Amino acid sequence: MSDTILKIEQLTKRFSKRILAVDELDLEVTRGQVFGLLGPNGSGKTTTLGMILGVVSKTKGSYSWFGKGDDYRLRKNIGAILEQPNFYPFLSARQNLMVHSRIKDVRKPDLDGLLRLVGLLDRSDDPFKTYSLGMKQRLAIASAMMADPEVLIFDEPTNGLDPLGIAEIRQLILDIRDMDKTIVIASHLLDEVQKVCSHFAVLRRGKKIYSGGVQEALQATNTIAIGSDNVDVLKNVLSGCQGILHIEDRPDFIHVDVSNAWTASALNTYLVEHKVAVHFIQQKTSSLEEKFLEILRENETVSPIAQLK
Amino acid sequence: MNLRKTIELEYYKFRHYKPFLVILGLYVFCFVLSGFSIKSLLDWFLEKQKNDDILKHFIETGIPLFDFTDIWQNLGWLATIFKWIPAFVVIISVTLEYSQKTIKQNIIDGLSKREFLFSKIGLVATISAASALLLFFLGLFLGLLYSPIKGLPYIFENIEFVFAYGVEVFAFLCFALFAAFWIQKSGVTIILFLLYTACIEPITTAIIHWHYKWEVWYFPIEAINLIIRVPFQKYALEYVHDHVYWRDIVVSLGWAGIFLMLSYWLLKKRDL
Repeated sequence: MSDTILKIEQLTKRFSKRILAVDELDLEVTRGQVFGLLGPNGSGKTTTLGMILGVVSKTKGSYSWFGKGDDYRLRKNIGAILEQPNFYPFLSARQNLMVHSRIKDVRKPDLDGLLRLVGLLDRSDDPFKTYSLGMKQRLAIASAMMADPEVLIFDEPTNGLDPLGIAEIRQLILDIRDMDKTIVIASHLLDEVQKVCSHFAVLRRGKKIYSGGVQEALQATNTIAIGSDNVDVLKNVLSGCQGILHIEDRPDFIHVDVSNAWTASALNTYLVEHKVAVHFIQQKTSSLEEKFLEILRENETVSPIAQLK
Repeated sequence: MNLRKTIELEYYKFRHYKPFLVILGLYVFCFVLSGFSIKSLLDWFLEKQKNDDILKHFIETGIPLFDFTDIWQNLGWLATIFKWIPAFVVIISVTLEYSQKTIKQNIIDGLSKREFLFSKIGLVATISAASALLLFFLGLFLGLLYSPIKGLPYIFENIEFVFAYGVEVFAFLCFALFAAFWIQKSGVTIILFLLYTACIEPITTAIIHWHYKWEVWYFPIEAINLIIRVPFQKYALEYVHDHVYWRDIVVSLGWAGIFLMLSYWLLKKRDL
């Protein structure tokens, strides 16, 4: 069996003369990845997912699932939710899953198991329309897991949920990842992608402007955050130290940019030698947010303000 | 393509949907009630008009409404009034999939658009077959109750009207299906469907026919309504249409095919 789960080549969607939603997109997702499709609202994430799931016709290009092309039957091996969970409002969770099992050709679905996985067992006989958004989202995940698919696709899975709901859904996604599933997540929440994804691509106006591993994007920086009870003494000692390029006073900690020779522990030793006690010292890693903004800046041909004019 | 799957799918979707069960129940109720009450209604009508010269004749002989060989056409014609009720069911079953976006989810989950259309055709075919069966049993029951002639060959003479009724409902529901796929909003679809089938086409064809003297049998609703022709003239006039015309069946089924192909074309062409 091929290790390539999804391969997208030159995929393009033009809605009208003016609106080019997806522009010659190339993408590859391999087995076991948790792939984040990142981009601001309107960058073409959902349109891309719509095309590879057969609900939006493509203008140009191709996509291939499991190295076997784009036949609709292949979608039975994909569990996907686009935008919001769509179910028959008058049917209960159980009845909705039964409808779903007919489409997936699952003769004897393990409804109890699925409902237990997402924690809906005790509400499974109530109509879907009585569910909270979080419950609807969880039912959607249960139905996506129905046919034990190789790959799951979530589009903004935590959109509109409260913090508890968000935490629940993220945990669920991590649990599913541990079942050896490949997962594709579209999101505009960087924090979300950083927390659950192994790889990501950044879309902007339908074009892919970056793709790579999350770990590589989060390299260590040359910034060290230090916290001390006596900030003035700390700053004094630091300013006398060679190899300190810049000291910035932040509300929480002091951030110092250091040359490559320094690490957090070396700096700590230096401070101890100079009789400065610190209660916090850590080498900063860049967050995906910083990386993302950096990527966007690099690709900014016209500044956002100029666009407005 | 798995036909059993598509029909099962539709069954699982709507077997618990109360509005459908209520509407279909009303359909059966109206159907049966009309069969049982039409005789008393006619008797009452004749009683009131007893001074009328032409109608006086019938009071003496009675109208052989439920006599075998006549009963199938009489009842079949009567039942055509109710074919709008299952049409609403078909319209709602499609527009609901659009308003709840479940059609989109169905496709994402691995159903082809063709399979989706076939699941709806399955619904239409099932309702049509059930309607024809209902007509058959109601006719059998009323005929055995009221008909003076009860021989087996007489019972099954003119049974073609039962099949004709099934075809009429099928073609009509195919039109409803197409309207729903086309317009997608339940309220608008129902209003436009009613307007077209009950006003626009009948008036248009009437004008064309009477004013310009053109033939109008090829119009969809006209053809569908012609399948079972008004039976009652035969009791008063010599003007008799006591069989099903192949032309009407062929034209109606032709339109049904066109509606289904247009539905498929719309479904294929549009993004969900």
